[in-house]
Amino acid sequence: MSVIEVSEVSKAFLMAEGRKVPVLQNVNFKVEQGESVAICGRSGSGKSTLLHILSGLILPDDGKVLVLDKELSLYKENERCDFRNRFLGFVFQAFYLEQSMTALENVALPLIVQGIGKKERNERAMDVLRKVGLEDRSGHKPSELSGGEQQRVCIARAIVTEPRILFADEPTGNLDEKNSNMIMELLLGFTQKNTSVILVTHEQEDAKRCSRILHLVDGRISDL
Amino acid sequence: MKRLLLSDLYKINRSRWRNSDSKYTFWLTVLNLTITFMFLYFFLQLGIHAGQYLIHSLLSGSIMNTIILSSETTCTRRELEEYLQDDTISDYRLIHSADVQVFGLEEVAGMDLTIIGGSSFFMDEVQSEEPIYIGENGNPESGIVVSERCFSLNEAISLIGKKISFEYEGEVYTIPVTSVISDEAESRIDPSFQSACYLLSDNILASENIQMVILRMKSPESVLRYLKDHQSGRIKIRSAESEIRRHISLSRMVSVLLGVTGVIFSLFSATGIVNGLQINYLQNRRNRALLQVLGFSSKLIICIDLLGAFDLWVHTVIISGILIIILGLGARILQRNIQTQLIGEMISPDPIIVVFCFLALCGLVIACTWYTSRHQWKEQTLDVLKSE
Repeated sequence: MSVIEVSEVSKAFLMAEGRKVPVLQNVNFKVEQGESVAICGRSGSGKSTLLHILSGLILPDDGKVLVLDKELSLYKENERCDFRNRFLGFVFQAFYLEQSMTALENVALPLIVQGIGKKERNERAMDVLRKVGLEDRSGHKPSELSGGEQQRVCIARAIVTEPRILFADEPTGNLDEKNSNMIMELLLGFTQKNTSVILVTHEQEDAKRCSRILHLVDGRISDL
Repeated sequence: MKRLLLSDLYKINRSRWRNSDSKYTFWLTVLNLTITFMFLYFFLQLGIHAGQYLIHSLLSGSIMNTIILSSETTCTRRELEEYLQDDTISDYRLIHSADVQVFGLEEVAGMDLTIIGGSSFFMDEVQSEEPIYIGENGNPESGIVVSERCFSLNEAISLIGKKISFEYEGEVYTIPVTSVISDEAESRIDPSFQSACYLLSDNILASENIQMVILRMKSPESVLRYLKDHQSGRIKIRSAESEIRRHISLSRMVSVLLGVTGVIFSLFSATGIVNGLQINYLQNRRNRALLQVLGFSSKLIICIDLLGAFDLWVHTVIISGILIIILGLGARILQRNIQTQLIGEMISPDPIIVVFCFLALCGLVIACTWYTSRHQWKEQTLDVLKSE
């Protein structure tokens, strides 16, 4: 069963001088449930743009994107936000944790949108922190955590809503080898629970651990 | 149904300020905003009072708001009342010949009085306080004491009603002060109280034993206007006109200087606000992108932004309110001092305190603005753009 279906997707950005620069051209691919897919490519090849389109943060100029059988471009902005909150999770290279909040509060952040009460939010956040091995660091602020720990908090925040698809944008980019391995194991472990993982990376070692690699070259996909 | 709590959104808003290098950015911005308002609106007013006060303190002894009315011949009460019906008069004091007597005040300001007349007539009314020691040149029979030191007019007036002590043939006498006369007048009197009283007839203003009237005007400017309006008449109007003019121009100069300083510092403080808001703006951009990814809708993010603006203004209003109360009280005291000091009824605070307060506020502006300026917003912009 496909969780993502991308057909003939194109995207171009308008430059200041009025010139259009194509970033993605007629991109086609599918991602199955519980599958891990690595999207590789050079800097500026359109990896992040593709990730933003898949998550409904930006809309394609042409083509169709079905995420969990829903065409996000047909939805209103608020509905896309709601969809993103319930079914998609994000892990970033730079973690993007709120520095003034504790690890527990950071993890509970997406649950605020769902209108869940503080007590339940904290319980659920603590559960996922336990899963990523940071139960004893729940009261710490990001500045008091190591890079690997911050990334694990970021992963915990991504999975606290139990998403169907997990997007990871260079999740090991800021980490050493030991921590990179730990994070990759953690991420790919979610595929066992039927969560699909889309990994954007230029680390070949990380990409090889996924079930499939998509190469993005000049805005076009080549499935290897 | 969603139960979005305002406190959660508020917490997200506050986290934006704390994400910057300084967790004090929010408070510094509030303080900068407050000080700017203070300078632009309130401190200018305070500055004017402070300017007047400083000049008045520097020209100690000069009576800038005072006018003395007297007449060479007796005039009616009605005539006098015409002179008292003026909006710029804040207070007046009728000096009765049978009450207290102030002699020889042809020149009002900047004149030294060397003779203090005393009498035992009003011993009952004398306040119970330590007598002021004058010297050895007294005469207990006439009640006239020649002071060994000079007094300004202001001080001399304040002596009326107080006790003085002096020595006469080895004995110490204590009497209440009922009148003071000038050095010049002293040369014209017989060393007896009766002779002094005879001279007084020159100055009797009204038939009801009113010897003279001391008017306390609202400002030195109103003294000049009063002089202009009441020049022709039987009643003589006396004031230190030339000194008042000098006082006014000096006051204006100091007030303008304080005003200009206020505007300069308010502009300086405004840069602190801009810095603080820029830091917050950059944090907002970063934070907004994250919140969008996490599923916060744009409406919810606008709510957080509005909450942020509201938060900033509420804090500014609260702190401004507290400062306005404190500074307002200060300004009121200064204003009152300027007026009441003229008749020597109130001890004024040291002008150094006023200067110190002004410099302290300026220092606070510099410190706050410098602290927020430390965050190089251009570098932060690049940082945010790179991260996006």
